[in-house]
Amino acid sequence: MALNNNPSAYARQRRALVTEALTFLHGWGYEELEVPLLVPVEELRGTLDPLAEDEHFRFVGPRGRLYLLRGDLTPVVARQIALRRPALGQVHRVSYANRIARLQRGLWADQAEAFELGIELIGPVGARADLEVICLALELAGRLRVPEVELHVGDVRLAQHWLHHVPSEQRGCVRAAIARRDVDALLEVGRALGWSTERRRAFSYLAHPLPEAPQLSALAEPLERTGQEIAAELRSLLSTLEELGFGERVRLDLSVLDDRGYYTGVRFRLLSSPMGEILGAGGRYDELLQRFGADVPAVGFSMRVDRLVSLLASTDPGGGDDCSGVAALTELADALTRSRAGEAVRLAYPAGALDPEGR
Amino acid sequence: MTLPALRIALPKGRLTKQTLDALRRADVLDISEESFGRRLVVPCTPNPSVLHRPVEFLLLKNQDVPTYVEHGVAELGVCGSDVLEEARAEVFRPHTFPFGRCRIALAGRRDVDPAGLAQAEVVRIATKYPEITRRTLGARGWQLQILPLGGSVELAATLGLADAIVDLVETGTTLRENHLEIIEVLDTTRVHLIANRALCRRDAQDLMRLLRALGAEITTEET
Repeated sequence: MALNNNPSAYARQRRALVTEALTFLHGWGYEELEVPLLVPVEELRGTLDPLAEDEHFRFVGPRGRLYLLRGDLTPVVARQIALRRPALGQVHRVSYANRIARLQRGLWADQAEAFELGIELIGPVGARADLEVICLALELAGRLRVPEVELHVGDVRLAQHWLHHVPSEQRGCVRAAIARRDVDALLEVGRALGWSTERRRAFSYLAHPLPEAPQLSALAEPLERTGQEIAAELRSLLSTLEELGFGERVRLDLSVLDDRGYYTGVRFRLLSSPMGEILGAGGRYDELLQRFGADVPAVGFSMRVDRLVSLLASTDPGGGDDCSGVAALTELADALTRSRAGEAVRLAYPAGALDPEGR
Repeated sequence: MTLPALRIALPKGRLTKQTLDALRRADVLDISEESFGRRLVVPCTPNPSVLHRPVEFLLLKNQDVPTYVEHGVAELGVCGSDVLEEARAEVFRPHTFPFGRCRIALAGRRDVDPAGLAQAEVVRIATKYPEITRRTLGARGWQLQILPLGGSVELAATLGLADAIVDLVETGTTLRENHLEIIEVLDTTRVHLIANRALCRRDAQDLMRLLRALGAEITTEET
């Protein structure tokens, strides 16, 4: 790919893309936040899944203090907002775009650095806020001209409920099997636990490659009332997205797991259809700010800018050098008024109730 | 309009024959390994009630199958779980074939004390499977010095290059003939139908029909 041999073209493209994205998000009331590069380890302790924490780089600073290099932006942003002591009901819309350092498996090799941009919607609880963030993720992908994007959405609580019925020493294998869509491995676990055929099959739907409404119902059914409620919320979210015209690009995904250690509800991934590469992800994390002393719910998403730039360069090799696509804020505001995400948020926050900050 | 072929990556060798037999029994397609000759890309017409697109088999080295599928050059593939773990490939495994199960075992000379290995300051393990060795023995807290080898791993233990080996064991004959024995079975490898993550979205119905034909348990209620 041409960009690999042309670092300055890559840098120009990335800057153009980030500027366009942040301008778009600003039009939605998301204010850019500067995220610190180093955070003392003890301040983030317990906020990340141990495996996720292992991907981070740690440094010993002056006077022997241990620091974590910026690797997962969500907990760092949550900490910054929590330190402002937000009141319940107050809404914070923040955006960010930063280089991160985290050891991740890439398609070609292990990757230590990446560039992420994202948003966090802190304060509102429930489906309406989830809808705003999901619509924004899809609209932003469209705004950045990302071709053939799909959004896969599920709820981490479904897998969590099932995992409670699995002995703790087997949970790691079960999580791996779900991630690999290894249906037979889940059936085998169910068999070893002496579950009925029906229960085993329901359990294996966590790894179903193409789940639809019947699989969602079957998966939730043995979980009794909580499971039914989660399934109903998911159905409602999917049908609203369908009504908003996103139906073709949205798919149910029962395999979503809390792989970061703080997700508590809806979880989604943004994928490029041709390659199946994950371009972004997000979800609800209602208990993360609590760990920093502020009991406020939140939902957000982030996108991998480096992957977006590569994808855009491969689909439109000549388009990268043109920075004229950075539209003026007023033009964006007009476009937003007409956009489907605009409809979504108008639905979510009727006139006069947009948010307590009076935007 | 001719639809683009569905590319299936097959590992050269015994698994090719076993896979083609399974596909024939499932009435997906009828082609024999002998007709492949020395070709590396073999086109084939499947049963149209299962797959709506022509099929193209890619004949690859075992270890390369996950790479072709992960990068989307082949949409599907057939691969052992041992190879998948070593490649750390991010592909889906929607079906497990009933053939090709094999034990992956820790083995050593007959005079090796298993308890001694666990307590040793450093254990030298020769293997073709460093990832699996790390995941199984490393997770127990063993201090490992892994010696990656390409083949004839038994020799490393026999000649003292390593304290023990981690290798695939089918019947155990090779171990016996080289004066080694199984210390512990660490895992069982399986042969999977693997899929590129995008295929599960783009050609979802083709995949589901294929899984149904292969008798995948997840599809049994839908038949």
